Amino acid sequence: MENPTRRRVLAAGFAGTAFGLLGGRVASAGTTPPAGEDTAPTTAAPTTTLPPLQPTLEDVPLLMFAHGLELAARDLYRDAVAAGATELAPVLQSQHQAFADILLGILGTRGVSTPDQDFYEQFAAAIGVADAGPLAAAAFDLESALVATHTESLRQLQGLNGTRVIGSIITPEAQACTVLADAAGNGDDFTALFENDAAPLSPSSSATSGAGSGG
Amino acid sequence: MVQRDPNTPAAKTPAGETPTAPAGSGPAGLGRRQLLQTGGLTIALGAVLAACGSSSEAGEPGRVGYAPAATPLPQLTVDDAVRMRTATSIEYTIIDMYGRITESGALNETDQRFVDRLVQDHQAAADVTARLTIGAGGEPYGCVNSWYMTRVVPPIFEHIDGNEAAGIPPSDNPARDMIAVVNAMESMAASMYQGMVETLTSPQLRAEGMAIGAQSARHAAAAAIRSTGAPEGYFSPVLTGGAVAPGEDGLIPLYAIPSQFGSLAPVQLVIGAPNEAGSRFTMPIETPAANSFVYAGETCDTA
Repeated sequence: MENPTRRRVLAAGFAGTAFGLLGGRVASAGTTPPAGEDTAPTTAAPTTTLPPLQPTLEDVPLLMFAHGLELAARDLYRDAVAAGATELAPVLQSQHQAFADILLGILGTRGVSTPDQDFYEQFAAAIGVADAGPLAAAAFDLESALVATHTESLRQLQGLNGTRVIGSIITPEAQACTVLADAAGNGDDFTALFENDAAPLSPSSSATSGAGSGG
Repeated sequence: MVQRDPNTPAAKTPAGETPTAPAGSGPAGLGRRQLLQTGGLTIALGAVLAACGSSSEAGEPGRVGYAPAATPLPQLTVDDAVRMRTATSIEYTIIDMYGRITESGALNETDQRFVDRLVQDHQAAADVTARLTIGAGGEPYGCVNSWYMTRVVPPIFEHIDGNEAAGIPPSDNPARDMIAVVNAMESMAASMYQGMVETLTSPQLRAEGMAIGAQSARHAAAAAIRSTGAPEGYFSPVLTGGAVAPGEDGLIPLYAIPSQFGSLAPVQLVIGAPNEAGSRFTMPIETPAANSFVYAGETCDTA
């Protein structure tokens, strides 16, 4: 057996280095492919672009408008309760208060502080009554307008937090339409129960103005 | 005996003896020529190994033995078209279920008219979602959802009609249970479309889908009013801070507005004859998910 010498140690190290350098290309475990290697995937990857979660600048006016409408609806049912309505109005008042609250949560300090005045005045005389039948008929129109308006807003909203909230509001408001149709004596009228012919309202026709911090 | 380089310490054997070089060997260590030969051989061998391994992908673990090559699972994309195809399949599934309800003849005339109207609405909805599928770049799907037809529908009708072989008695009130089924399926459809406002990438599709979902929500509300009566069936007690209590028959009343906000949770369907403990068959009906989506490429015979 030969003795290990400095030269042999150097030779062994050189050999090991050469192996390492040459074999490294094969055994590389890095995540970056070596230069010159075809890096194109074998199948087309789907896009990973996701919609934003937070409301965009364009979303804010739409959500502010929705907030003003919900506040107006709450006030209209509050007037009905004040007039003596006890069957439908109290629950619907609290419903629209909850809808306004959650919209305010999305908007933060950008939420409007006043109810939509045009919307309020459109229904004030018809809904602010104690008699359940006429109240239900007027409230049916109110809820139908809200469903149509919120549904239309989904065509423009980009932020998913806003679309999620609007979607969760549309469902109970649509259910309220059927309740109010039945309460108004149209329980056998499938058109009244299931169809919504209301035209969506637009912010441009609204008296809503200015951003506030209340709700 | 070969003389040892005085600068090189003698290696010791395990027994402490000084080793001896074989006769005829040269001086200990490598000469320059031998070093160059060894290095050249090493480089050549390394080049051969590199060439042999050039087809391997970096990071791929080596394979041992003769196991067959692993087949990668297909990459299934869930896009707007797939969601619309799935929605169409749900519409046809509901139509199929209502067809079975109609064939049973268990409903009274008023409730049957109600179900007939819902079938019309769902056929119209299926036409809309098929059109939207095309708009989203997909192929419309014109059949029932096979996952629901296999996993959801059979147990429902088994507990209404009964299954003697399985020891399931028929329902004590089939008509009541069928309206409950209508309420559950309409609620599920409403939740499906509501959930899509978060998952569809196209705002236009979100609005179109939600309009259909709103109508399903109204269908569900009407079914609840038919089941529970008016005005008792209008509002769930939870809307005013109360709790929902089961009735004497062990069934939870259905409400037109069951929660403050639209829910995406599974719908609890309670039907069938009560067992010895008084409880009934309960089934959560969930909105479509990965295992029930109708992916691109799935076809069916619409004839």
